[in-house]
Amino acid sequence: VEFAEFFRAEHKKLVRFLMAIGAGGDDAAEIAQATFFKAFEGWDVIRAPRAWIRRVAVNELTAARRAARRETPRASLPDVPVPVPVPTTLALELTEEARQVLAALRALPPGQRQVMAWIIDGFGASEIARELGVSPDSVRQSYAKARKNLGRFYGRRNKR
Amino acid sequence: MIRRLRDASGVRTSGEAADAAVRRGMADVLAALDNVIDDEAVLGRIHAQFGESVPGAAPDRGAGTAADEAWARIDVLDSATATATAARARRPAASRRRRATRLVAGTAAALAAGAVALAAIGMPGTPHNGAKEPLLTAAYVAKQVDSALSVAEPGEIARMTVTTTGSAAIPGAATTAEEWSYGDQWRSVTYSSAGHPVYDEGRSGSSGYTLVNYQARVWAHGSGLGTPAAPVPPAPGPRGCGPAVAALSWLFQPRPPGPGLSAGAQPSAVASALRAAISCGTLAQAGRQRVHGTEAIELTTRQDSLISETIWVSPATYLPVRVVVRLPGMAALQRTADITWLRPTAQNLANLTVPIPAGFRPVPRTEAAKIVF
Repeated sequence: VEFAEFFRAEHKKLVRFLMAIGAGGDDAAEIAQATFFKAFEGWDVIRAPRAWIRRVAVNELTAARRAARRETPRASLPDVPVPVPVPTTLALELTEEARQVLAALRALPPGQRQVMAWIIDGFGASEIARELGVSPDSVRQSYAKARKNLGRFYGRRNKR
Repeated sequence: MIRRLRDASGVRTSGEAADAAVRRGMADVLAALDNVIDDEAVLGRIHAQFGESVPGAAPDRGAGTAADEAWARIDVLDSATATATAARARRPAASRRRRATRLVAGTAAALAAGAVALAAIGMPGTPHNGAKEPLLTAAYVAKQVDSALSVAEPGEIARMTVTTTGSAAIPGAATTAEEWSYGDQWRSVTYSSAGHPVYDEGRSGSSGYTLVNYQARVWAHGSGLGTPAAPVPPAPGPRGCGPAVAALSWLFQPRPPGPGLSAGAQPSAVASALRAAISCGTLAQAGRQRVHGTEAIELTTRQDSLISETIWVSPATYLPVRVVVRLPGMAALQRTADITWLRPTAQNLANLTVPIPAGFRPVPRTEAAKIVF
């Protein structure tokens, strides 16, 4: 597969994948770009590039979050967790349904959220299990729990 | 895939509504990304990092392809709703893309018109009215801006109206935020695309930080929050061409909607970043253009800069009057911050106070701030 062809097919999906696992729009775009930069560097030796970019992107996101936590606190920093906002430009484009889905995914425990993100991108249980280093049964259980939680989220919303 | 997993888990119906919502919502996210991210620009930058050009032209993928592809591969659709949902995802994406194409064409025409206008107005040192004028170098302008901001900082209120243009979802211009800054006091009102206030937040010396969430009809208050950002420290590296230069865009870039809990940069930080950027060659003088009815000096980033930024400065006061930021990889989208400098009259000072509408209830800050999506 040509890199450019792969990039065009997967770039925005990777941004969306990162947003599904909880990254803000700006961070997701930046991490996706950095990931594709690495993919371009090692393109000749990368096997299964769709899974590879997602694995690397998750690592990049984890590293970025760790780095953010290591920053020296300042007096002006808020004493409450600040939600990651959608960048203005993307926020203007997102439909209400898209916002609600992203919010619902963020409300999931991290493990379930990550499984959902891989599933949304069309990966099978055994592939996800391999990438996350867990058993396929564990993936299925996480998915079942995620669906149940999402169902509750939408059930509550529909009752309002 | 999802159906297979669903069968395995034994949960056949309770999550189906959620599945459908996730499917539609995530297709919408992809369609939104289609509108704000320019793949070719990002791909070009990746190749450029390795000194290569992108092989081949971008294929014409046709309207709605990206959104369709995403879910075509995912076995999450219930067959009964598949056709309707795909059509739903395709129609808005196609119409948005057509609008985006028109906007890009319009922007190109406007840029061409702007270039002609610049030529007519004249470049620095060659005033269009034929009068003799000193040659204004970028360094000279930077020095004057620095002095002007130093004077303006304690004495005047900076009012910034931030608009986003080129959004395919919202044809024309959409006001997104209004900001005021005066000493260590500031206020920022974020509007929805329909023009209704969404968040109103700010910090004043007497009342501390206040946040009003119009969507949730709640407000919160806190002391010790919202302190203005510190000025950029001197940049390390040759000629000081380090982080300060990189920070330039952040100094001017309006914050995204939602509670920020800390103010943007103050004029002193803006001045030091401007000087650093110009001395490093990041900003150069590009000409003159009419802003707010008067001719303004235009400073712009080099074409190879990572972020495209243009700053217009009043030749009368040397204060920035407009800043335009174009985001990397995002086609046709730009943010414009129009800045006016106001005297601290009682009426203008009143704009720094966040009013709490009647009927809104006080809540802990966490609750008021957490509703962003």
